[in-house]
Amino acid sequence: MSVPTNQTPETATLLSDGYSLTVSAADLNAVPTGTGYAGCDPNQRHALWWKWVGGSEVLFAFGIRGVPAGSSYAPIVTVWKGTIGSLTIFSILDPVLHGTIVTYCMSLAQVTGYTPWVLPMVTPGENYYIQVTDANSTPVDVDVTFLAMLPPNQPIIDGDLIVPSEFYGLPAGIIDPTTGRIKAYRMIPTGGEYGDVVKGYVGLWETNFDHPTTAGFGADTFLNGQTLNFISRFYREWSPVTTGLFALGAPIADSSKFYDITSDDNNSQTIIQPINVDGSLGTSFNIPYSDLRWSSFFEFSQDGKKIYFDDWNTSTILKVWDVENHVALPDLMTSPDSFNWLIAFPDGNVAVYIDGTDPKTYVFNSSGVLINTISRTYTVHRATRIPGENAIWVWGNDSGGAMLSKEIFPSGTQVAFLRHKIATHISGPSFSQDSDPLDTPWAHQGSCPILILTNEIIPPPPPNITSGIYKLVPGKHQDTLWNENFEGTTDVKIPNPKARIGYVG
Amino acid sequence: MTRLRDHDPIILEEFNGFWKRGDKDSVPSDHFSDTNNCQSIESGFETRDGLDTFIAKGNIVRQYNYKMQNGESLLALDTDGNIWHTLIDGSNTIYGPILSISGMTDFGFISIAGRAYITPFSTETDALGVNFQRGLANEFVYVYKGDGNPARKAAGNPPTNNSDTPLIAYNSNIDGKIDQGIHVIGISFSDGVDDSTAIGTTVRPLIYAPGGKQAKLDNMPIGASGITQRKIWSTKAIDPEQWDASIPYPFYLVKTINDNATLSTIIDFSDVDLVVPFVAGSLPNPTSGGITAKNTNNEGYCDFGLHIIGVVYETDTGYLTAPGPEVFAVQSFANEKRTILIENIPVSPDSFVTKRHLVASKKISDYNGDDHGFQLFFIPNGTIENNIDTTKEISFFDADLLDDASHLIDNFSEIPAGVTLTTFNGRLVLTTTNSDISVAYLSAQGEPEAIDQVDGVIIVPLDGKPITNAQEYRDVLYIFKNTRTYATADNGDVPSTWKVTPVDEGIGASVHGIAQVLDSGGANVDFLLIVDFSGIMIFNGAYQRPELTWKIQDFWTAMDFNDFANIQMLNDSISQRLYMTLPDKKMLMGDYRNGFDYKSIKWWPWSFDIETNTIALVQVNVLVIGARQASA
Repeated sequence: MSVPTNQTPETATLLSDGYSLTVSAADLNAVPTGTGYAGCDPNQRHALWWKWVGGSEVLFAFGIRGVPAGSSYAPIVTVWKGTIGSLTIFSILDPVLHGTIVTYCMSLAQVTGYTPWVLPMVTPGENYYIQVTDANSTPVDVDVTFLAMLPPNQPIIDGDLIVPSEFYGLPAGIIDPTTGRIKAYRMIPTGGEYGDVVKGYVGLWETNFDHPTTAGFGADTFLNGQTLNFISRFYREWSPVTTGLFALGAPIADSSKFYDITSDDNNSQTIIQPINVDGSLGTSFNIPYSDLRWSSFFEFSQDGKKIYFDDWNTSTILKVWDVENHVALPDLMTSPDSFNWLIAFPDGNVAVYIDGTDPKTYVFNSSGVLINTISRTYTVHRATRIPGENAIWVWGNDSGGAMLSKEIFPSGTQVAFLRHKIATHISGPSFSQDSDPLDTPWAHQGSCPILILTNEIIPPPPPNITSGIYKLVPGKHQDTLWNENFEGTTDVKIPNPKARIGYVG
Repeated sequence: MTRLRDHDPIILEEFNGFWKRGDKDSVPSDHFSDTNNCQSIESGFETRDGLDTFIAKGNIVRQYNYKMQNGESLLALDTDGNIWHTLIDGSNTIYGPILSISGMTDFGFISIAGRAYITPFSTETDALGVNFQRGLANEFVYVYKGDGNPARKAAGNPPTNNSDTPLIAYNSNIDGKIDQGIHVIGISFSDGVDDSTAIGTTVRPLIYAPGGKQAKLDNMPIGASGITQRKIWSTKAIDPEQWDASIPYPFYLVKTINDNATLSTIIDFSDVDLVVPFVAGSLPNPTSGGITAKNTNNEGYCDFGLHIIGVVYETDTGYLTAPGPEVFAVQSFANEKRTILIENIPVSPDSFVTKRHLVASKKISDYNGDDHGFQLFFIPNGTIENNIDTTKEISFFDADLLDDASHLIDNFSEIPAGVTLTTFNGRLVLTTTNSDISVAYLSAQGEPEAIDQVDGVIIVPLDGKPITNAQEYRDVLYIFKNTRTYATADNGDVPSTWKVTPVDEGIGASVHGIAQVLDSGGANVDFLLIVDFSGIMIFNGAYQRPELTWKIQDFWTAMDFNDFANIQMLNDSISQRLYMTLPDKKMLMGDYRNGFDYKSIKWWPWSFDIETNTIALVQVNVLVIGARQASA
């Protein structure tokens, strides 16, 4: 090993997929303090530079391995872009309306056991310069490996799991539900505290505690074929007029609408606002409770006629609201502990999970009769209805750590189980297909939904219709038929021409 | 050539097409016992001509060559009941749908003066399972001008004045005491205390009392709430020689009607009774709507006496509606040297009304309150060249009233839908409406939308079977049922007087079963080709046997009679071919280059990968096939 020479933007090492360089502690200590590029780290100790040229991919990853907790090396990554002499700090323009520029700085210090990564979103043809400096003034005491790679980019299909980042500016991971491996990443315009899916669309909402400007933030996504392009379609900003917060869902599996709820304490009511997939708003209606909040759970029955929700003040009363007649129906149950999640199934059953000292899932039929009680030996943080099925994915923790479990209802039978190398939460540091992101420091199982991709089901093309208006053309030796569905023509042989001579008696 | 013993070679100089009559042993050696998709060439045969796309419009079930004034085009009906207008000038323009009617599975069509007349119909099935066609219930004949704008109902509604009608006064033939001379009649409102500000109505009626008779008032205006009386006022008798419309003749009370509901009343007074003059009050002045007429002080001319004046609308297709409104202007003209001012002339709500014509009766000496019992004439120079103006000043003598408008009175304002549309002697012929399957309606000559509901009716003998077709041939209108043929001719009187004569009670025609010749849409060869259950018949005033399809009789009779309405036949007299669609959505071609008789014609069945529903000849003799997807 030798002292790296990539100490300025001019001498930056060009990165490519699979790049890996290990630098010894001694050589790293020999790298001088940089000048002129006080990005995220004004001290610029042991400044090293790499360069990435944006290609067709939307992401690339830069990571550092071998820096255990407690190490004296505290790498700070600053991403620059542009041309040398006029480099600017790569920033994130908060993509949905806020217009806020957020400097893209990443501290990769004090992380061990996996490879932390920087995931800039790139523009094809743009030069990106990665500057790594040491925030710690004491000498480096570990050998450090610097890595670069492209993210996986496998085809996305219906049933894949989408795990949004809790943080804006970081990508959502798309996970294979059979292997748990990450198939792809997509940038999303928001984090996802709550979210749901309708055919072809993903709706996400985050409270953005860490968002620089806005306390409430409705987000939007768009699913196009087997690509997952998140494009703004609607935006519902938290309104200071109301005192509650938003939640977002698409409670009816085959609905084309999302709904957000706003608790209006001033008027002692909760507003249910339909949001069409084109961003337009439907006709809202009110529920005369002011205690539905972002932490509440609300779920439409699959016939759309009832809403189940918990009483936010206590989170112990499972209430039912008749949407058609706008009256309260008898409470479904009262629990000694808070509800954790609520799911309505296509068969009309409703499952509610109550954590606490005796974790149980309670299953009610559409008449409100308790039909099953399922005990759990592990903590469940989130559950996601699988569209069109009486089944859920649950994200839980048992003695072996985090896991994903697919369960069918009303029995609660587990039919799939994923643990190893499951990417259940994507928050920047975990990236590769082989990473084990369950240990990611930013993971928060209680606040990130798992969404199940329900792509727009493209109906099979109808059988071709060869109708139309034709003309008989003397001397033409085939029939040219108009393909009504495909707006084209096809030459076909004149069918079965024959001339059979008569019998000569 | 090597000869087999006792077998002579057969030399075939001609291949004469399909033979399907009797068993296979009876097939002549130069015919085919089985053939498909072939056609004749000189001393041989070949695979039929191929198709090429013509118009990219799908699921066509009926089409016609629509001749506009500036070219030809196609009207095509699709399976969803939409009619499209496709230009065939290379522009690929498709208008429409220019007409969409739920349940329209077929339509009749005729082009007159560049306009398309369309009648929607459908196939129904009777209790015995027999299909028949008749006009769609609650539907109408439509007219389309070829400009891409939607078709509209043919004909049009006559003028109307709704419930607002003019005050009318006229002499009664009952003896009374009204003094001879002109009397102006008016009316006022009263609540028992107060009176109107003036005597109404705006245009007050005149009577020229003969002396010794009563008079009658109709359409007396009704006052607002609070009015309890209406008072009838009149001037004393005025000598016609002295009559001056500009003079405010004094009015005197004639009669008080102690209610606010009565519409008509009889008045009888002598001038000596007229002693209570009108004193203006503060109540509203009676007004009345509707068309009115009055003498002006302008130089002009008219004939003295009571006249009726109405209005006829003219549409953008030249149709003249029945005269209206419901209550005409009824007025006695008092000064023969003054013009007549017509006011409140109705305006049509229909945008396609482009003109209005004033019509009038001649002087009526015995008017009895019935507006519609008198002959009306178009007033010379009484045309309003728009649908906007509500007044017109005219002069006319009764002797000028020559152009009779009476024939318009019983016209259909909406012509019920039927099956066949054709022409005869300049008249539009419509048959087989939903309610009258044995009736043919004929329009006035030169006015295809003017169909008199009484005089324009021809009734074919009722036998429970609908009229299927109609065709003019040698100045005779032939009307067909499935197995009947009738004839009728213009006797110079109205159609309802024409005699209907049976021609053949065993042979008829199917709905589209009269061959159209080339792209003319008519019969310009001196015979008709008619699709009968027994075969294709040549008709030249009488049916000729054997039928043209004699060689393929078994093929013909094997076809489903119930679907004979699918047969559409065209005669390409240039290529000397007959084309026809068949009940099974295939085609049959008859090549008659070697002679147009049952022996010489060569039949060639054709099939396609599409269902050939309908055919037309365009650009003189280009065969165009309207098709839809073949059944699986």
